[in-house]
Amino acid sequence: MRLKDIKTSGPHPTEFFPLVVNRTLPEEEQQKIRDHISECPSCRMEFSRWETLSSAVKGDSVVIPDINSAWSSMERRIKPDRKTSEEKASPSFIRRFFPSLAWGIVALQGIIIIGFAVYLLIGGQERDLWRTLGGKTTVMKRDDVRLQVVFQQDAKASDIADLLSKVEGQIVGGPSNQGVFEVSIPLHIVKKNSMDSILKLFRQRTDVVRWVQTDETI
Amino acid sequence: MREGESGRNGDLDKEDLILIDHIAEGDDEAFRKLFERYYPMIYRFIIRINRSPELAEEAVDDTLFEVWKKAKKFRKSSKVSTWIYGIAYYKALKSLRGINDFQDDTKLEGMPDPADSPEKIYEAREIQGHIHEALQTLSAEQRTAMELAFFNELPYSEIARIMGCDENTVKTRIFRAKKKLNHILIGVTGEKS
Repeated sequence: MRLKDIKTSGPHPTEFFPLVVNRTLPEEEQQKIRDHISECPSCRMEFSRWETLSSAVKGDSVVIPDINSAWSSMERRIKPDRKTSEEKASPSFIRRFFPSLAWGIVALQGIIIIGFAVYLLIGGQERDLWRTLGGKTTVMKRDDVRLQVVFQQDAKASDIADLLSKVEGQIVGGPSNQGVFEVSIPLHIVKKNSMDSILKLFRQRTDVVRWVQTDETI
Repeated sequence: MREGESGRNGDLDKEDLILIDHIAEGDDEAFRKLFERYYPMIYRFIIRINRSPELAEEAVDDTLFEVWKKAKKFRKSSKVSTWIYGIAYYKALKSLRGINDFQDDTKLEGMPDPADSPEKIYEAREIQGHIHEALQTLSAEQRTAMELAFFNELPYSEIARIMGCDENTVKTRIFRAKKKLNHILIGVTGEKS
């Protein structure tokens, strides 16, 4: 059937009904068909079915997924080596508001770590630090020097006290199973007199000291 | 083209063409605009065909990724929307092959017979529900043609381009689909069969 053949009375133009319903026919042609429908009860009924069908298709609702997350996954697909806009949109608090501060903090941390490493490597200040149980790594500051001392068995307490008082020393540990005492001497005394002279002083007092040593240096 | 809307549709198509030109040069912002414009429409279109949200999401993603990759090759011999729907149709059918969902024309056998319960048939809401169910039982090709004709309101010529067939085939699919649903439609429009 041709569009020009459509008349108010005549062949039923049913084949054009979908195109009237979806309004893809030119307006003039649509009007011709509508005129026919208004005069033709059977076409009116048939046209109504098409309208119902169209409404049902349109009204068939669909839940659309979240378009932002869909875009994020697409972004990763089109630019796999770049951050997605979602990732760009949610930097940390500091990076969002203080981007230069964030870089400053990173730089400062780097400087502290490198400086500390250099400090340890130089070793000149090792004297000021404790050695840990894990080995000879020195990590804690200390303000004395420790000597390991074995006193003579018949040494008098007053003589020991006299010797220790000369270097402001005091017994802080021992005796061990081998009779070794740990003697603490303030760092400023060691710096003032040198470690060698202190050891010499202890070794000269053979009536009091049987053996002395230290593995610490300043 | 609908009266009074040709200008708006024409503008949209021009905008689409501009976006495609930018996308062809690798402009991802242009692609984002096109993505946001088409994602809901393509999702709806595809899920009408494969009826699986997971597969539909995947197929929409593949469709729009294809647009990104092939933008340079778009020859502008058709509307951008027709080109995109054509890709979407292919992707939807491809996803269907995975779940073996092609249907023949006999799936309406399980539909309730309106003549069995006339008093219920005339309850509009229930019948509308029957129509929705019946739409799901159409073949993929019929559902696609119906969707493009009545939801997207496209002319046969564009539907034919999208589906890769001639206009007469489109027309036949639409009329066969309508015939399948006729007994329910008769109930809805208050006729006596």
